[in-house]
Amino acid sequence: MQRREALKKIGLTTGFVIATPTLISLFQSCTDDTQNWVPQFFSEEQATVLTDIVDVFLPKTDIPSATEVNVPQFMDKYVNEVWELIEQDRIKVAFDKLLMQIKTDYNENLNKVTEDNYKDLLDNHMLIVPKGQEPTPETEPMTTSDLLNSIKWMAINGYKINETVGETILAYDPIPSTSYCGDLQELTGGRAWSL
Amino acid sequence: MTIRPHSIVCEVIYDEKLGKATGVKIIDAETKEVHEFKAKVIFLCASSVASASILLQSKSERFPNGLGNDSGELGHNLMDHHFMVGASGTVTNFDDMYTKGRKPNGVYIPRFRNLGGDSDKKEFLRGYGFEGGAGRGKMSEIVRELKYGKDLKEAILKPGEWRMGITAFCETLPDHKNRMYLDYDKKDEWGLPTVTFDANFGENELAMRKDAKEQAIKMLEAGGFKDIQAYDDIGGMGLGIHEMGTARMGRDPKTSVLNKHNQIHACKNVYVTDGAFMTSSACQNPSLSYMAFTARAANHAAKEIKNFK
Repeated sequence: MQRREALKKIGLTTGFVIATPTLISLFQSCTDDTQNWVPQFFSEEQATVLTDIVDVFLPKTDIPSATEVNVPQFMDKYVNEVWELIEQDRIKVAFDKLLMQIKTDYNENLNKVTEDNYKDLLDNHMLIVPKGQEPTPETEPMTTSDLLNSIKWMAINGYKINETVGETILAYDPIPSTSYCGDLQELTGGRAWSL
Repeated sequence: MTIRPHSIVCEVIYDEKLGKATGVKIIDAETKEVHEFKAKVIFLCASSVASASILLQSKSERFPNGLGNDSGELGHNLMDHHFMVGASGTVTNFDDMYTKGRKPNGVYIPRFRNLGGDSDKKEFLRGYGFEGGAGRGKMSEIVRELKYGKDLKEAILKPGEWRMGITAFCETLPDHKNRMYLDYDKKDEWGLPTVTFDANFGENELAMRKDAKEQAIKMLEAGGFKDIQAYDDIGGMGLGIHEMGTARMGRDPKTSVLNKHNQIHACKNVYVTDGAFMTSSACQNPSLSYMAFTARAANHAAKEIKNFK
């Protein structure tokens, strides 16, 4: 399978995650010093919003938050290296619109936009796409709701294929052996298998 | 026994005087040198497309259109299974159950159409089988419905709902119009003609798919599945990677290339034992049939070898 095709398997609106070695290697390249992260695709301002918003989706609990496992860095590389140019242009336009919206509604200084501001944004602008209904077709501009949903799904998929999450939080058994069906609690304590 | 690697068989050598094949011509893939090897009996088992290509390239006075091509059927009747039609559904009573481990197979529902009596359908000939399986791989609906926060994070770490899917693997009928042919204007790096395909699924296949989709839905409904979603994405020939039929077997040399022992009708010391011999595609995975026919043909050749002097 072509690398691009393999990577595209973690699409935007799907719940499926296929952890291929290619994907894992892409993720492993995201473990640089995050303090000095220079985004490849997103602008500095977009990266600021992305970093804040993924932790609203997946906040720190007794397990790491999205930023603690470098999800924004992954998303930046993923969009940069996997998306088609037309898709990249589409998200750029939508993201710039979102930045304007955040600045107008909450704070000109993006570093001062609070977690509650982001929750308010999501409550007001992220529509849950009804089941079976596709988001806005690619020929149309991406709406704010489409963008927020895209970020949500990329964050979820990026989080689930992260090495730390895969090996220490999800149920992990690299040598799975014979197949059988059993009690969910006994097998994994209620967690999904990472592989 | 000697196995010679990097050897591209480009021709079966036919001796006009003896009226039989005497060996093969090969090109060394690395040095591009041409060598000839003599043999009493020749088995072509290079896969359906390659075996037909070799025969089409084996031209002689007796066989100007390719070895064994008296009927004009060589390279024709190309078939592949059509699939990617079926349905999936969720089931809710097993939320406390989960799988562990791996297995190489899923479920199989054998063909149940056109076997006589109530199973017969007027709309199409032959039939299809279903392959399928169930799992909790897809994230739960809750993930879609939750916007953000701790609950969302917990939900993504849990197994999704149980979902079972079944996909039909369907028979394709032979059709003379569906063919592969050699393009001598576009050659590969060894100077051999490339293959062009001109083939598509027909009315019988389309009618069969309609029924397969309906039956998939009905079976899942009868099994108590919810949220059933059906699909039909025919694609094109080649996706099933079960290419066959290009040197078909038959009783009549006027309409077929091989006889019932996989021998070329008019050149009996050449056997073709890959998917090329298939007369129709059936609906099953074909490898075991090819292997059984190959063993049978090898047994026949061993018995007949004294006649191939």
